[in-house]
Amino acid sequence: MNIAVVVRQVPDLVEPLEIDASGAALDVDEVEFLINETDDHALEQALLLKESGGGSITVVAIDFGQVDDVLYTAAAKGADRIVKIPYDDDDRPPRPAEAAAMIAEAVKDIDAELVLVGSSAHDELEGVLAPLLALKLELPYLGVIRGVKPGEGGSVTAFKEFPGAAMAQMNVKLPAVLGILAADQPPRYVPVSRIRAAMKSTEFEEKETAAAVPEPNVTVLRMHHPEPSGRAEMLTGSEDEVAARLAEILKEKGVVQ
Amino acid sequence: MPTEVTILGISGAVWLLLLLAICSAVFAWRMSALLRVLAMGRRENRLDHPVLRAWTFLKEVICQSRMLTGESIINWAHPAIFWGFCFFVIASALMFVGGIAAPWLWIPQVEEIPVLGTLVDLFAVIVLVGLIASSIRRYILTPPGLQRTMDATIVVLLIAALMVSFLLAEAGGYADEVWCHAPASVGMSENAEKSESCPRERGHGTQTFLPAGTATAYVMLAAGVSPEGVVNVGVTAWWVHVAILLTFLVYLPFSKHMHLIWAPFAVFFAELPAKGTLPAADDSGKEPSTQLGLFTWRMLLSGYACAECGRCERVCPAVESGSKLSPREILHDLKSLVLKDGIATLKGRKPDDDGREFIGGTVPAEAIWACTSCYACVDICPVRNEHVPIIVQMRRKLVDEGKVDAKLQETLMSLQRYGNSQGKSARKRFDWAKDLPGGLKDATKEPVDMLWFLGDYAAYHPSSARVSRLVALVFNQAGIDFGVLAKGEKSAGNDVRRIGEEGLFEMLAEQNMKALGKADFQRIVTTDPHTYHTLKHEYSRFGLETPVVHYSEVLDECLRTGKLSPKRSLEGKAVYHDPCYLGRYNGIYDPPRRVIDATGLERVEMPRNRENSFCCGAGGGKIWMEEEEGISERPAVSRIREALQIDGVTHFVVSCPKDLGMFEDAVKTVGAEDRLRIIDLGELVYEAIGMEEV
Repeated sequence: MNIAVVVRQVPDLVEPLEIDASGAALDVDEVEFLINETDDHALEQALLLKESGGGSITVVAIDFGQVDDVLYTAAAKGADRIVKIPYDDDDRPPRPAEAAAMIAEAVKDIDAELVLVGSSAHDELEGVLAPLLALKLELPYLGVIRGVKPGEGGSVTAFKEFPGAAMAQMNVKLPAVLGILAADQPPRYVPVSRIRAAMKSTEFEEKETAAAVPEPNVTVLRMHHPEPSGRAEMLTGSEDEVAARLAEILKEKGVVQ
Repeated sequence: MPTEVTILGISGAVWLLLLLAICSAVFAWRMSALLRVLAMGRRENRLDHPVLRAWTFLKEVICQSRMLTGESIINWAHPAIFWGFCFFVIASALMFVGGIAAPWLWIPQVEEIPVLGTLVDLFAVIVLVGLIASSIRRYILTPPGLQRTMDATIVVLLIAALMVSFLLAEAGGYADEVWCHAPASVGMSENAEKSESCPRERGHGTQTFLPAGTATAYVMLAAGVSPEGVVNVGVTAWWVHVAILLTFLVYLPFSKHMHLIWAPFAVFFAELPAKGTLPAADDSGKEPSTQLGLFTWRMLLSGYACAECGRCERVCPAVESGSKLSPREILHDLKSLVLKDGIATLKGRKPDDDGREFIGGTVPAEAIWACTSCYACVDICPVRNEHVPIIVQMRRKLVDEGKVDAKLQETLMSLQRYGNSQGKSARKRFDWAKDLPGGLKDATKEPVDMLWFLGDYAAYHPSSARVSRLVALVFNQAGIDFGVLAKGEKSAGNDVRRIGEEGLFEMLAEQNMKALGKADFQRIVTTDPHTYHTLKHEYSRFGLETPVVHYSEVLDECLRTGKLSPKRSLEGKAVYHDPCYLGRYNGIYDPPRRVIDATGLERVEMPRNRENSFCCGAGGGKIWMEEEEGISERPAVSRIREALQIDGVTHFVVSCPKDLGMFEDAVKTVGAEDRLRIIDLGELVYEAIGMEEV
């Protein structure tokens, strides 16, 4: 089976996020990027499918952030081809519609029977990239998938969980796009020595795209950290002072007499 | 000589020569096979430091130092048997040479050589006593981990038979010499008179004092055996002795007792001079053709050299806590693999392993991951086997295959990404010093005398980070010119190496070296023994040459030179826990003890102290793993109980950031946090010099 896996970069939330001078966007220079978690699951699912039924995996990514690290890791894990889509703007991550258009163009050339992509990303909880991609590719789409098994005669079996703990097992005729929430098993660990070896041996295929994307009609006015509401009073000082003030407050509020 | 007989028309000397040739050929054939199997291991240079090696050999093999300071009974029984063996090698060599040469040439036998003859004679008895004592230990007292195998029984019986037959042969010689013409019925006194008139034949030198052999002769006589009978028994015993020796020669390289051949080599090729510096990973990129190729030749030799004494098992914290790991079994399994796969490969066959993997199959993954790398097993091993490097080697294979548990994987990913094991931003590494009066110097911006390399736990773990702050205040008080790598310090990678993630270790080391290269400093200090060990011994291949010291040494120095002076004497009774990587690995036992003494606390020792210290259970990356199922009691809890057995103990002093967290948890598990204070050495000094927490 020829599988395409789409991976995206998202801001690493372990690092502090800064707002840039415009006050309407993240300061990308200060952001560390990492692979979108569900995309990592999509890659793992592809690896599992390849291991059980053979085939080839092509990883597709837009050249943004620290995507090379992600791509070398994917190669070290067992991806056969890496397609990197050039992207010029270092300051602004591609919008979902833009990304979908670019990726669709690259995926078309791969001739993939199955396209796996993370269901959503923490900077794109709506999860529109995957369905938009399916739309562009004119392929059926099924999202929020928790596991895929090879099926009979050009199909796969996809597992989907519904609220209320109902699981559906679906036969999906290929080609199709699946939005992956979780792979059959958590993404595997790949040792640094293998990543380093992949850095030496892996060649990225550059795929220029010329997708026309309309300007968005939504503008970010302001981006900011949550602001304290001002209702909290921090009690400081010695234990006795804190206790005295606390007692005072409780009296003021009428909690104690 | 007893070879001066004719058996089936052929001279005894020829028989002896023939038997010796056949048995030696079998021995040589087997030994050459075993050597060729060793050659299947990875290369590793163990010929460096020849003088130190020779000294170690003299001390530990010839003088049996590791046995003499070891467990009771066997601490004298083994040296006795070993030294007896050495003397008997001479005796046996003379027997064979003399026996074969007898028709043509008289070669003096050991009992004819004064002093040496007496020693051999006495050792026959000493060895017998040693065998009885060690058998009582093995079969009746049976310490845990010591097996009652058929192999051991056979070997004990063979050695005993050797000694008895030697004594009988000696007795025969004595009878032949002294009573040769005596009538069968005479008593002893008459005998003595008669002996004067006996013609002296060459051999069986009566000038040599042979108390045990002579006594045997008299006992036999008293038991009613005729002097001729004693002589005849002696001749038979001589041949029996020879037969057992030859049996031994053939049996040895096939048995557990092959340690007798290999252990001296294992000691000579021991890990020297520093302990616990693991071999680098094989970066040839070639997959070894057999599973043996994953191990170095010295690791494979461990299998041959192992005497299965079980000491490693008796000191192992993982064994005590009921995990699946047994360092003894790992070596036993390795030996089986070496013999089975190795010999099969020699014969050009594919190893008959039923497709079972050695690593993760024969040796279960749980066992491989249970090791805390505390090195107690290596340190106690009489033949200097290296269990921990072998375990790490197996972990490397599991890591290479991505077979790590979820918690460990998360930690490794964090180390890859953030350079620390805590999943925290590198930018927060020095948050603990945010409000430090005077701030922290950045050694990459201004020169400092001492570069403080934090390590992950001292930087991020809440308790340890608090202590880091106190240590910084103490350093300031002592007027130490120190700084940190404000940007660029990553985990030093000690535990990463022990996990078996060598590539990640190399990456971290390279990143750290890059950062260190930008800094100006004279020496490195750290509070973390794990960081200390790896920077001191494992960064040299990345080019680090600066001296590395532990803060306990710095505090000790400051207290002794008066740079720090205690303002008040602390009250209480303290025990000190030796961290594995400071004590056992690097032999630093006294500086932290002197620091405790300087604070005024009364210091007492726990039963397991210094090189016998008991691991907290965190090392070797164990702290990053999910807890193995079926654990009876965590090592840290067992250690706290040990401390609490000391009457009136109030302080449990640690000098390792991991220890602090481990024992703080453990003391709560035991419910003794009100009675026993877990305190870092740095905080102790902080209190003693009368600083107020700011």
